Amino acid sequence: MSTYETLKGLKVKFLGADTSGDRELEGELYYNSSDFQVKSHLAVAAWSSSSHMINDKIANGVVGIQTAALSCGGFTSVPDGNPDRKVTTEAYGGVVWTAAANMNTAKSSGVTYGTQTAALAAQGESVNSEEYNGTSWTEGNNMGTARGENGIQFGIQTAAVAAGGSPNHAIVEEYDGTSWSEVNNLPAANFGGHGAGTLTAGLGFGGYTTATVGETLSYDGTNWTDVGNMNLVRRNGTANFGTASLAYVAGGITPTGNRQTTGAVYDGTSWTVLPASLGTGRQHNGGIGAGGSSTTAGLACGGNVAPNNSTGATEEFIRTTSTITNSTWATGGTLPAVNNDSGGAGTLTAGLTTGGTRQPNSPNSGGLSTNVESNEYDGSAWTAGGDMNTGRATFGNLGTQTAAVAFGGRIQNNPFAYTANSEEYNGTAWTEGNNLGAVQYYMNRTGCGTQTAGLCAGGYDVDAGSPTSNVQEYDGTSWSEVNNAPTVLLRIAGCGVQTAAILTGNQTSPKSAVFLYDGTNWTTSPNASPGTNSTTFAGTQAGGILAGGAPVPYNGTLSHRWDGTSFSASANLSIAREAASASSTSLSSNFVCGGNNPGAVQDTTEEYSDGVVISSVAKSIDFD
Amino acid sequence: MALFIYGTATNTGKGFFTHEDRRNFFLRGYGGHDGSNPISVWVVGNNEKGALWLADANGTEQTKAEAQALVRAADTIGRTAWDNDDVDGESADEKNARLGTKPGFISIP
Repeated sequence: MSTYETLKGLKVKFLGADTSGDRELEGELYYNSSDFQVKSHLAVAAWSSSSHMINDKIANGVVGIQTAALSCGGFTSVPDGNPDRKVTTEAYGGVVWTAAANMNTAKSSGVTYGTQTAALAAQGESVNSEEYNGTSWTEGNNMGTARGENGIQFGIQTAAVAAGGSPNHAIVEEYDGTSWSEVNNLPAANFGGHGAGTLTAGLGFGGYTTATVGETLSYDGTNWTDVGNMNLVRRNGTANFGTASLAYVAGGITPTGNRQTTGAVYDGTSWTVLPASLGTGRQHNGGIGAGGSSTTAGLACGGNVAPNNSTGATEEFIRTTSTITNSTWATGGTLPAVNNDSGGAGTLTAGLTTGGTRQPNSPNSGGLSTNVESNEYDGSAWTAGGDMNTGRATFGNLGTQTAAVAFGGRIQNNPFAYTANSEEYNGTAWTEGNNLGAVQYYMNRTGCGTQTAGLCAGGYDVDAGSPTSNVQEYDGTSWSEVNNAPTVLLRIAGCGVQTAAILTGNQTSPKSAVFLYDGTNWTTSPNASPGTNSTTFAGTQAGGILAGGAPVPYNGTLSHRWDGTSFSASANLSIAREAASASSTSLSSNFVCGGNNPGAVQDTTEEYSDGVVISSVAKSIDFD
Repeated sequence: MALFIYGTATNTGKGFFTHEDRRNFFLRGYGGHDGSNPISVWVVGNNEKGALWLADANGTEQTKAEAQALVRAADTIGRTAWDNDDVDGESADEKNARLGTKPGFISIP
């Protein structure tokens, strides 16, 4: 009988507490003498769905990491026996795909390496090779031998390996950032194989030699060595990523022609089939491949699905020993009355909602329908605050419960009337301030900044009769115009402060662009948002939560979390709503209230609780 | 076993559903109308905690068809209100810009 020490090379430690930090080793058994339990840190793996690619693709190349990936080339159909190879490229930031610069030469079933800003794409039934710098593709030196069907591939833009490929090649070429050179052949011709790792520590696995195989080969930069077999043989898989000592593969096709959902992991010694499986079985598609060295997160996108179609389906893989407490929304106090298109400010325990309309989308019926009321929230209940001097909806609002500013907006319907008026709140009463530079409404609908350093971005300039990209800053006394936004902004959601603001969810194109403001200049994040308009945005440039938005019901319950770099899907609201009001200054402590729902304008409040990652909670092992 | 329980219940505000509830079962609310008054329709994950939540909320269980009918009635009212909400001289595009596109019918899961 074998022992744990023989199998794992470790003894079962006798410890007074759970292992943690540098002492933690996934899968290691130990006895916790305080808890009287045998324990271990166990990883859990899962695939989850994400946004579809813009274009369905088969045999597209994918590089990067899960939150900064690039898909290039591929084909969608095979008219007249030849794939309609594409030059199109798409970038993924963790939420949605956005169009990127086209390649110079159409490719499919090629080899790809690197990152979203330093990529290499070659082969694809040709010798062509080109590099991407995050902005554009540039022709590089050609390969020596044209091949297809994604041979084994691993490495980065400046140190890449392309091994095998159809039809039946054993040829291996290395790229040094300038040119390709032929090196030692594979032990046997192979196409449709997979790879992970680096040029000097690489791994090739699966593919087709004289049949579909599970053969696993390690590469040290010079020689190939057979190191075992996959326990579920496959070729043309996807999402092959990781390192030579911890590699993953998912999807692909078996010898009997079945598209796989299963995934497998190589731990440096042997392969294990993972319980986590793709939602959509697929073959011949891109995945985070040659450049993806992550051992905990991968991506599958595109591919060939049954019966024989292209897909843009995207799925994300995560493997972690951490326990993740999901973000959630719970009910808060009920507003005194339904309210739509009102302003919001403050935090969960010191919040403010102001103005708005009782009716959906500010209809003309009912004549003057805008509110002057303010209501204050303490984290449990709403109580009446001071009335504004000018009732308004679709206006700008920023600050805190005791130091807020309301500016612009629609003040009357039927006939419509708008204002440049601005007023300040001190927690008790509203007082007139200096006007905006123009009569406008639909500016950033959730607030950026404070009463002494505020921001008004975009909106509809009534006198000009058009949306505007103008931006104004408030210094506690007056509004002054500063650098324009990159584009016109209409009803965009924003949060943060005057010197570190973030805005997205524009009602006009580009809807999904994420604009960042540093107090002087505007930049656009490379990672897009879902592009929902009439949403709320609470938090800061370093972390925020988008919630609800139009059109309901399709987007009205969705929320997405910004982590300072990219967006990811978060907990759903329980009630779909657009044009809701929200607290503006905190990610971990915020609310949404009111808003328009097709069934009824809302008086409900929902409170957000941000998810918590509890790193590496040890699991007890029961033997009975 | 059906995936969901359907019911109506009045949202009483703070504590009506909690963060723990949201982790324990699926919950989504829809605006409904019973012919006289607006009414909240809830789709609840069909497990023990979901069923107990609906009972604790003094909810009234409905069949899926009944719940869908309540939501459709509210949708119809909203769509009619949209149709009737016109401004003299306003184009269709201007109306869409002002009100958003005409609400559709919601299908509950």
